[in-house]
Amino acid sequence: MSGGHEETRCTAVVDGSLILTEAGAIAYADVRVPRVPMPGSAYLRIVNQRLVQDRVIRFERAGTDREGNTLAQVWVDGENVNERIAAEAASLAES
Amino acid sequence: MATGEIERTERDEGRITDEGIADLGSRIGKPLRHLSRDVVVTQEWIDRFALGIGDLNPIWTDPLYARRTRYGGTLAPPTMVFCLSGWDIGTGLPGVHGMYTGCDIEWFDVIRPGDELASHGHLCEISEKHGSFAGRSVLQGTETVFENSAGAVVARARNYNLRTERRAARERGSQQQVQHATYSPEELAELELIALRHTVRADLPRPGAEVEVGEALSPVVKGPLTATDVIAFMRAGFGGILEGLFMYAHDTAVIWRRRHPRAVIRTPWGYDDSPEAVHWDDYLAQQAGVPAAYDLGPQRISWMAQCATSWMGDDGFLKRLAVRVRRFVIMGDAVTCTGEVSAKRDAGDETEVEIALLATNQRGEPVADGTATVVLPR
Repeated sequence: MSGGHEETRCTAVVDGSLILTEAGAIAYADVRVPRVPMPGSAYLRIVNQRLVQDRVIRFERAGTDREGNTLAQVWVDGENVNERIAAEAASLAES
Repeated sequence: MATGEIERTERDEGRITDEGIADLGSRIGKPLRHLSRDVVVTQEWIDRFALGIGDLNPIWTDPLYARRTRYGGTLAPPTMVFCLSGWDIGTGLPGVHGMYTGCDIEWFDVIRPGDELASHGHLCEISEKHGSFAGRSVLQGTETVFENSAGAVVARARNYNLRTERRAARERGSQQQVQHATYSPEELAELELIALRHTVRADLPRPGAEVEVGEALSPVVKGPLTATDVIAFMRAGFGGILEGLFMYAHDTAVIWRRRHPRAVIRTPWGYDDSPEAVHWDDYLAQQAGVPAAYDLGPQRISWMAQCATSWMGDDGFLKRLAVRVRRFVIMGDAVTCTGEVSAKRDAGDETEVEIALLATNQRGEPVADGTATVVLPR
């Protein structure tokens, strides 16, 4: 399944775990966040924008989701975005 | 049906007359019953409004997030005042169409869930106009004041309507050259991209000292406009429930039509509908001289306000918003709202920022412009 790391640029953020890139739509693998407009979703979308919008990201493919988006682990500046979003979601729920 | 049938002919469409204008003038300063309303703001209501304008700022709708802000909870989008009282689109001049032309709103405090607000309003000015759209017309303004349970004024809103004769607007046909927009897949993708790329400052501080004149705000795109967009806005209760906009159904509508037989618009099938249906029914909009169903002015103004509130962040306060609505936005139009800092001045530990707002359609034509005044921590 894994094909090594690739690079692309993020052009827009759909929500906390789905982004648009020059390589197509990428959904963060193993990340479950509230869907817009449920509580928590709007802020996680903002966090995601701050992390990746207009940035060059590195990603490792992990299949496709039901909508045909690429599932992937994503990094920006060495930080694992999937893990960061999951942590932010947990922090929001616990605050 | 011979008994009590409402006889309606073309002459039932209202006319602007000297007598009608004089009657309207005599009402200036007198309270308007439908602008008097007591409401309790709820989170569900805020959700309906914020989602009705497509504003995903988490301080409106996200209690999980908002409890971490200085307010400790969610707020109402400032332009929700459009839904917190009744609405005046047609005092006087029965059967003469009313078209919203703009606002000048001042806020003195934030609005939160649980707030009990009382509103009262009156007709504050009228003036006769002559324009290409419908010839003789009347500009009328109302002022609505919102007070909290302690009697403090939370907001004061002036709203303006242009009263036009439907027949005159149809016959002049000044809007007939306007066509329903079509888009290539690339154009639609571009609109979607701008919408998705809109940024919300949220919990990142925006000190007034760091703001620069000429700074551009993240644009907001709304459209291509659909009937669903309009209904989502109406679902927030725009214009009031008991009195205000003519959003009555079934038995209530029957009674309302009996009381206001000249306010209705006749469908091509021979029955009547509310004049509000011009916002989702092309035929009825055409009866008012507009080429297709069109958005609501307060809806568009709320999109423009979003530009400013997304930019200012959680610690900012929208103090004033003055907008002039300039062109129809019809179904299929896509509106881009932009903003630019035009001035700033320091006052104590705060900075007051003026933002020039502009809304343009997909043809690049301005459809509204105005100014927002935002207060930021210095």
